[in-house]
Amino acid sequence: MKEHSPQSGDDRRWSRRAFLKRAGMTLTLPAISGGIAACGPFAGGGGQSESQGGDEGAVGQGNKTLGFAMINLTLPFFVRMQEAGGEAAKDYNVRTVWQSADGNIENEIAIAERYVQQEQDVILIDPVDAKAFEPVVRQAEEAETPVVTMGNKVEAGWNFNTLYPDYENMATVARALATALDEKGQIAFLVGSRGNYVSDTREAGFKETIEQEFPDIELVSVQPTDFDTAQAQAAVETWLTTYPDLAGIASVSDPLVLAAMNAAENAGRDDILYAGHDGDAEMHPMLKDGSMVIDVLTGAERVGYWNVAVGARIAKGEKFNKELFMPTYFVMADDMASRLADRGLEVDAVTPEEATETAQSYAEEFGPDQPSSAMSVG
Amino acid sequence: MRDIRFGPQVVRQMLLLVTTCLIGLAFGVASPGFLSLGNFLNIGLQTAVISIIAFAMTCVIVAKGIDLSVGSTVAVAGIIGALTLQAGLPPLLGLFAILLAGVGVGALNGFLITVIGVSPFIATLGTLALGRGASLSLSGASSIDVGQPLVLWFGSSQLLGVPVSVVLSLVLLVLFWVLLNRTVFGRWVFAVGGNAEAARASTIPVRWTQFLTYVLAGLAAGVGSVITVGRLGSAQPLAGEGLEFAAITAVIVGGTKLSGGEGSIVSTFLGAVLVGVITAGLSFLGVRQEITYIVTGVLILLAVLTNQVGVSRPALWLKKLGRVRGPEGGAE
Repeated sequence: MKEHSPQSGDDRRWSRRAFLKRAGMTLTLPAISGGIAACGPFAGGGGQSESQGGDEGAVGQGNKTLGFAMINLTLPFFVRMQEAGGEAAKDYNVRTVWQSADGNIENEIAIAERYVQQEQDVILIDPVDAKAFEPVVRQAEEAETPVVTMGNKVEAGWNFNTLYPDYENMATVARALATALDEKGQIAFLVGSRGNYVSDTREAGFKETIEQEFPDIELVSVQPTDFDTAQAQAAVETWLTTYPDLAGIASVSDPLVLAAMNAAENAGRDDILYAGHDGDAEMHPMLKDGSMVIDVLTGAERVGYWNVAVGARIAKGEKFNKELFMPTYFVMADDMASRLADRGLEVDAVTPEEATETAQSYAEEFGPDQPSSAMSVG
Repeated sequence: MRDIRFGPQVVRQMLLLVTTCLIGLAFGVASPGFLSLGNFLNIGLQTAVISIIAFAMTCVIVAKGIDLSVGSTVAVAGIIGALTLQAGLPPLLGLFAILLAGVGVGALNGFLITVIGVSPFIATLGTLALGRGASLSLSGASSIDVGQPLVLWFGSSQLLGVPVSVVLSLVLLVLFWVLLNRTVFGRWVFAVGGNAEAARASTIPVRWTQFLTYVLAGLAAGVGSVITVGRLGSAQPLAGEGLEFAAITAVIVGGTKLSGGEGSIVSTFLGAVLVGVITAGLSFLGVRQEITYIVTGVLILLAVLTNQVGVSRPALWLKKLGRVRGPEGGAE
């Protein structure tokens, strides 16, 4: 087909020499691209790199390969998850390939489709949305490639779902915070981003519990932050001006709670109670001093190790139910647990010290020496 | 020996084709599964929506505009269509609603730019945010299941083993080529982008032409939305994120000038395929996502360099530099 461009001037013609010049320049691209791809920390393809935990790309050796299609690999939770996943890859002698969709649903589906083409032994997907991944799971089923969907229930029949009870956990978090506040006063809630399954589920668990069970608690604002601590801090700064009587702040993720605490400290407010989720070790001092009521230990490292362990076991032929549940733990200081119990709320929680131990012992909890039954509770 | 001469667009298309083949072969050597029919169809599937939107984006950019809202238009159009289907209307009306929503956003962009006089960048940046907010708000921030076979057909079925979306993108390639190269409207688009004042003096309806390019972009986003909904089996409020970047990349790599007046639909298509091959190849090798961004960036810069500046100018600069530094460095 010939193209027209009145302004470009079709009469402009290229000599063979000019053509070759331009060709040379254009063809430098593969060299540049290849050079970058082959250099330094970006290298990871081909399975040559021995386990380095935090690197995206191929990790570990072994004759089985697990392909991970992740929403993100730069947020702290996912970085920790991948690091522990690298340890699991070593322990289970499998190779893992991690690719990030950077939050883009079409990218994530494309990554999963490529894994099907590459005939990975198991594909593990952290789905942006459950419904959208049903077609690609069916594609994997046709290729007889096992699929594990992590943290989000995809009902495509073929896949395994690795889950944790986010809704129920955040309902308990809401009850604990409300009870600590004597069931009255103003609270606000920091969430991740709209449309993110984990954030939305946790938000629903928290909001609905407050609305249904605590009529005198006023949820004055729910602020999406894109899991960005700077946005969380800005939101809390605004709240502290707009709602001077704000008594409690909850969040779907611990780093956002830390940002909230920082904003409150800058504003000279030390009377606010906090509640969070993730079970990060950084929260333990606040749990101990009573400013943080409750946390939920899923633990990024535990999640990473557990999912690689499940994927490796499936690759090696172990049989599992289609739904696997990772044990989670509420974390509270003893004083706070007693206080809430006195007010009628009993929560089966571990102390921060016990949480530290649990969070670090994932290799023992889900390691290759454990039986298949250790991979799921309930 | 007689010197062979080529038209600039043909040169670019040949180079894009050769580059794509060489890069594809290189990836094939590094990762044997890459050179399979299934993988090529996958690449086609993954670049179909980008290509379709990039065709319309070529028209917009040739007419000296830009449309940053196409990604969120895909999302909001899909949500509107899914809500229409959820309300019990026939699938054909659902499809019509998706296309109409796309056209609506395109018309809004066109109105803001050609009637109100807002700059294209700002106007479409506004509708980008507006569309994303509307899609999240209308959907309650969650996906909407779509099960009607007619709607799913466009994104998940095959014709003689080729995905329908790929066939559709090839059909639209021909239609857009005809529109831009064999119609009066196409000549207007080039004229408006090349020199709006001269076009106006030649009694070409400049505003109307620009308005229609945005409507076309909206319509293409609507078609992209139909494919996306069919592919995902649902309407997603976060669909199409970054699609504007992908489409503009394909257009620029294809050699269309951001300053307007020059561009080619076929080159845009080849640009989309090249980016698709590189993305898939790097993914096959398991390299980090940042690499894809870096390579895409290099690709854009290289395309701009070869197209906007030309090859002879950098060569001249280098030559001059050599002369200047000659006495010190001994280059000359």
